[in-house]
Amino acid sequence: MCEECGIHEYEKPVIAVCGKGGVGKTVFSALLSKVLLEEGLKPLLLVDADPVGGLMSAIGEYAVDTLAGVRDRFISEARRGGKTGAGEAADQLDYFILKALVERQNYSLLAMGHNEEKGCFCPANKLLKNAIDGLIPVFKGVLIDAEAGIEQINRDITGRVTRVIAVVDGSKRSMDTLAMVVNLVGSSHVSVVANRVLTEVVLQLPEGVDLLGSIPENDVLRQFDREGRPLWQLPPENEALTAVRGIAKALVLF
Amino acid sequence: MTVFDAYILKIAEYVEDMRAQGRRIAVFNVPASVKQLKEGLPVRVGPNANPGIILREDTYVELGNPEVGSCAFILFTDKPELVNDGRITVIGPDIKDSDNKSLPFGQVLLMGGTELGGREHEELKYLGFVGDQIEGYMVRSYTRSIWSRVSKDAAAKGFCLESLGRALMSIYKSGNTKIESMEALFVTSGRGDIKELDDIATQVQKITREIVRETWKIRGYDIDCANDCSSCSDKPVCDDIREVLRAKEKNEQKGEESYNV
Repeated sequence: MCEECGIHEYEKPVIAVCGKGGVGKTVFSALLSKVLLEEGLKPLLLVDADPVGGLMSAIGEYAVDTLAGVRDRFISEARRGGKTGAGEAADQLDYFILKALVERQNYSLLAMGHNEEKGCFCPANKLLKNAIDGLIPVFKGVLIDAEAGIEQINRDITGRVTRVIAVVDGSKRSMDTLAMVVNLVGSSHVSVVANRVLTEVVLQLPEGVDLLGSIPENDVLRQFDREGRPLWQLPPENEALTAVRGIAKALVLF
Repeated sequence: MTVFDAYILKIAEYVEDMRAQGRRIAVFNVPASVKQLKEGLPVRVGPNANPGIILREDTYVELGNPEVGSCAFILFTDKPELVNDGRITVIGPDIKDSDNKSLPFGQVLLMGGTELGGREHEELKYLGFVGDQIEGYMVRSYTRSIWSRVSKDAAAKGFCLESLGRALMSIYKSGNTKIESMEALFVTSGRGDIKELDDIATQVQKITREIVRETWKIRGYDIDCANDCSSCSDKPVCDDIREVLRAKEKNEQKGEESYNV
């Protein structure tokens, strides 16, 4: 593990996709997961850290149970039963996490969902995070579509991230978010994907950060997105998908 | 006499009732010693023998998925003779007959030992968290529910419900030397049969709750207190009292130890 930023060196790829809201993180995560599976990184764990479940719907899946639901249940059990309730609920966490896991051939999904119980509840988050960490060893790789930044992932999901991919769209705000991510985890663990960036725009990346590739504006993809069709059903020769294949190669995972 | 004696007899009646209804029943008698129990196992048993989860695609048979139903509980008595040491009863299909199936699952573990009493309940309960201890067998539990998976590899090695019984007996017996006799019942025959078992479990749970309440009372906690402690203005006072109780308990333990020496 890198002592400076807490990011893990290569054990197995645990990739977190970050970036400013609206830059196309979820679309990129959906396409990258398809490509990773095509390339044989399976079983693959997909974590949808967006409270409204963007990645789930982007690939045509649905989660009945969410991790937020597991957390809320744990907190309310602890409230109702005091120490004993908390103890019992902690014992049962693994049961409910397995229940929340959507299992398919070659991949599984976990949806973070939306926390109803307000407040920090750090110990509850830590228990949940430990339980997710316990799931990771069985998978060949993990892809996290993060709601915000790496700090949210570290706090709520797992401390085992090996690589952060920041999606930028060329806007100042997306570049500011990138700078913030680099500031948090260090440039050597961050890569950039440019989404819908005009070819004439030259991205000024922070020093040491590599550009994995660019995804062009694509009408078919846009139409799929508009109609809510699963992005895994895009034609194999789709230009955006082809670009993501190149990005996956640049990640040097295989 | 312990409070569970009547329920141990009820379990015997349940098995006879299932037999009378024509259920397929297999009975195995396995050795009593931990060493011999382990010798007959096709998989490893011990800490970290099964790290992590078994994914559905690697599963040979799934037992007690929340959608098909499950029930699990333990019963113990201070009369070892009430429990048939080494007996494993299987009602319904075994693992080898159930490739790629999801079966309902009932598991009852009965233990006898002259020194077994309410104080051992917690320890026996925690011994039951065997999630990582049986190679190729993943188990998750929730109050009276149990959800487990047998991996394809374990099934290929011959892991069956008799093996599960042996493994659990070896874990419990080596974990608590007060257990003199132990018996296991596994039910996979159908949701209705699990429901009948669950009716017994509901009663057992009420008694268990009472035991837990008493155990915590001795430690100075009232688990019936429905208040949210975090919003209570007296929380610091209670915290102080708990600290005092903890210290007192520690001193008493030290006293007992030096007395024993």
